[in-house]
Amino acid sequence: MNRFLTIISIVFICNNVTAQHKKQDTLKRVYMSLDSYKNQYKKPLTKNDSLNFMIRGNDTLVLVENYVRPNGISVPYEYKDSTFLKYYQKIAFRTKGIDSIDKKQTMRYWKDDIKIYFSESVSKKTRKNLMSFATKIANEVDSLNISEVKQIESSNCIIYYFGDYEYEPRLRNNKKSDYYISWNGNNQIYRSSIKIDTELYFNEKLIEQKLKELFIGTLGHFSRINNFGCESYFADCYSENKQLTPLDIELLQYHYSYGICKGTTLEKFEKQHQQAKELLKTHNRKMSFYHPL
Amino acid sequence: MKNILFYFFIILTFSVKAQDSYFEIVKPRIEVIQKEKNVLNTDNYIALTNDTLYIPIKSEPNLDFVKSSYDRRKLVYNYEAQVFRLTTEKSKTTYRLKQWSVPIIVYFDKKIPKEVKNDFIIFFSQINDIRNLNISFTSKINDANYYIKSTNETINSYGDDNEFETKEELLNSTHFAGTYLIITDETDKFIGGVMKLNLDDMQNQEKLLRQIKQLFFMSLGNFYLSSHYPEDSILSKNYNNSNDLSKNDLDILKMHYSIIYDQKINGTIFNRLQKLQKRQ
Repeated sequence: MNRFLTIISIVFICNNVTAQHKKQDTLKRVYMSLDSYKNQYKKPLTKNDSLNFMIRGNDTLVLVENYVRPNGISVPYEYKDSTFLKYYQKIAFRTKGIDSIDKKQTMRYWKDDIKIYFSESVSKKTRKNLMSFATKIANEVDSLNISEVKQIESSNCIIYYFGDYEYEPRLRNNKKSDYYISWNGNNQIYRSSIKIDTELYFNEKLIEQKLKELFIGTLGHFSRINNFGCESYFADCYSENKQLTPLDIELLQYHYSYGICKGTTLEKFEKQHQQAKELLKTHNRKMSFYHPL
Repeated sequence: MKNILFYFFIILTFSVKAQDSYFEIVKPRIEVIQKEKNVLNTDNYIALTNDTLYIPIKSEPNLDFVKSSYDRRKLVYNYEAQVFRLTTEKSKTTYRLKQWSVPIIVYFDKKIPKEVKNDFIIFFSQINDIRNLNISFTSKINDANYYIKSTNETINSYGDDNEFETKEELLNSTHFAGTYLIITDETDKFIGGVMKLNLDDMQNQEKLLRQIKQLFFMSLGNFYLSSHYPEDSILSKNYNNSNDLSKNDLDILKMHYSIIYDQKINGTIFNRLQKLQKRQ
């Protein structure tokens, strides 16, 4: 998927699938690693190619003639320490400690704005409190926009209760309160539904606590882990003092940060970090991640 | 001589490793704190923009409550039978420890007779001094996390194929016309509950009181009823609806709530805690 490129700095192209239908612009003197070049162009190297080789570290880079880069944005690598990344990977990639399975796990995220529709059963107070919670998250996380809509047709997130119209058929047989999310081939979430059992969650307080917990889960198909104190929304235990801790906010910010490619497998995520950290260490230069629009 | 020293060193290494601490058995959780000096004493921390997270240095809890000494052997056996059904993590079905991690605040449906409600409150006031277990009552449903309510649903947890010889026995049993549902988090902690009672199917107030007492007590730890217990035990299938909680029942609750565990606990982990206690 990705091509290792050098322009003025080293750029990682995160995704070029959509670029074919967009307006394009041209950049000069773009280099690509030898392996990526062979994979991408599948043609023998010419004498001219060899003359233009550039050696950087252990990589031989090939000049790409007339490279056309799709419209997009380039974001510098966002450094995170290994302990933070260890927990982030458990949460966002839902790792279980089995390497062969974990490496193929992907992170999932919203690219579009989230538009929430509440069923009529949801009280005004609960709507208000959930929207206040969602707005707080949206204010903290740059690339995440959340709003309430009154028309179900305009929504991509539906919140409803047991006994209401069944908005998500795949939750029909669920006996417990839960959420269901749908994502596309790029691991971009495009729809979510949250359904609460109000017989068990019998008052506003219990409903709101459960709603918030599930809502956070829909923001990235997150796992809750047993390492964090119960106040954290990413902890697998309950607390009456659940709150968005500084760690929760930083995890969400990082999930929606474009300082690394989005929607990748864990294996690619780790490789990109390794390369970016190496570049930072050996050349004191920041890799950039290019995200086509 | 060198070889002897080498093997001595190997044996010493393994014996030190075998000496679990409580926090190696039950992993502590990371807490969020501002930078302070004891963070410097641990490598296990994460630096955020404005905070530092670290695994706090806590003192080991007293594990005397798991001790199976001569006078406590029967109690500990009963406890392990109640909580783990004597299973370990290698058993086909594993039972884990379940406990409330929050104070229980009970709200009664208005349809529950006042006398029954008052007797229930008096009965459970006997367990007010148990550490980590707090039970109170409220008249506002929005303040509650435990709802005792009436329902029109037919409740028969035994199903049609049951062991009762007469219909009378079935009607008089604890799981007929009453049941409870519990909200549990992913670490087996109870955080809310609903007890449903079909008052039309209830024979009389005496049965209703006995039933809600037993169901409520069971819901304090996912306990079960046994025909082997004496009649004054609330966990007996032949419970005599005594006004006093038996010593054995009280001791089981005290054991159960000695610690609110940070992680899931199964029979194997509990056995490791018992071994650790012997070394303390």
